[in-house]
Amino acid sequence: MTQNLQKKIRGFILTYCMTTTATLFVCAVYINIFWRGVLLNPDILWEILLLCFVCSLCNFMHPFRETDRKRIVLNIVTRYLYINLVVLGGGHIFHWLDIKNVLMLAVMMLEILFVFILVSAVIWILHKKASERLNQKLQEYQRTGRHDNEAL
Amino acid sequence: MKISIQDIAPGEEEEIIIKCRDLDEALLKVIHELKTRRGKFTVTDNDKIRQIDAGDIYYFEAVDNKVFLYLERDVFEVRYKLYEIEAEYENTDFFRASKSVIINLAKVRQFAPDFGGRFEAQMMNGEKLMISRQYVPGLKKRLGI
Repeated sequence: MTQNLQKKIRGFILTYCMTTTATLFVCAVYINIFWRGVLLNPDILWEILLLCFVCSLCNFMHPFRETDRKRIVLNIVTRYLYINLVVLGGGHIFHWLDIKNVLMLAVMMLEILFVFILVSAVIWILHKKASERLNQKLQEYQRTGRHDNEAL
Repeated sequence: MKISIQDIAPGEEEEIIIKCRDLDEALLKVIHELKTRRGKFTVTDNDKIRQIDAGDIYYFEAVDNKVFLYLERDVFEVRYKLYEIEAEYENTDFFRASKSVIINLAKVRQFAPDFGGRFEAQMMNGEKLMISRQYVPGLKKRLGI
């Protein structure tokens, strides 16, 4: 397995874990608002896991070649739309969501936005930490003039 | 310190072997100098031929099948392909940051996070260059992460 693929799979698993955790939290809120007192089918747990898995597949989606910032933003928007489609479509198929109920639809979309922002924020923080680590190593590199250890 | 110089056969690759107890800072600087100063680029500057030390270069960029080298302020076209520069300057401060750019790590002020798993290299002359996601693992490896 190539290093690149390993990295992508690690990224996918991380996104899946974060998405599932955040989704469980927002599902608890959603159930409390719209399905309070209703006996829920335990299948809902499998449905949540499935939809989180399908949503996390967007990690592999790069419809636009990322040559500039505009295309990166386009990719992010595409992934966000894909997640909306998956969750709203899945919610309709699994009967969590009545698409004629505007309030229900709005709350669901708000919750999707919340999970999307939360997961993106965590990924950004991890990325920022990685850049701090890179800067620390860059300073060491520039101070000592050391190239890669193998070459030395 | 003993210095030995050996003659080699034509076609044989030149090699410098350093025998030492510890790689101290002074020795690392010598190695750094050997690696970064090994090349000079010849460019034309207002009909005059000028030689540029590789160590003074901030980055190379390919634009429309032409390759340009960027100094702190000046820009010159060079008659090399980007992949030739990458191969020639492997294991030096030069690092492939994207399909069209090779940067000099010695001239990077700092890295900043960017969207989509990319990083931005902020150069010492104030310019900002993108490091593509696919080249980030190589950068981490180069810096020993």
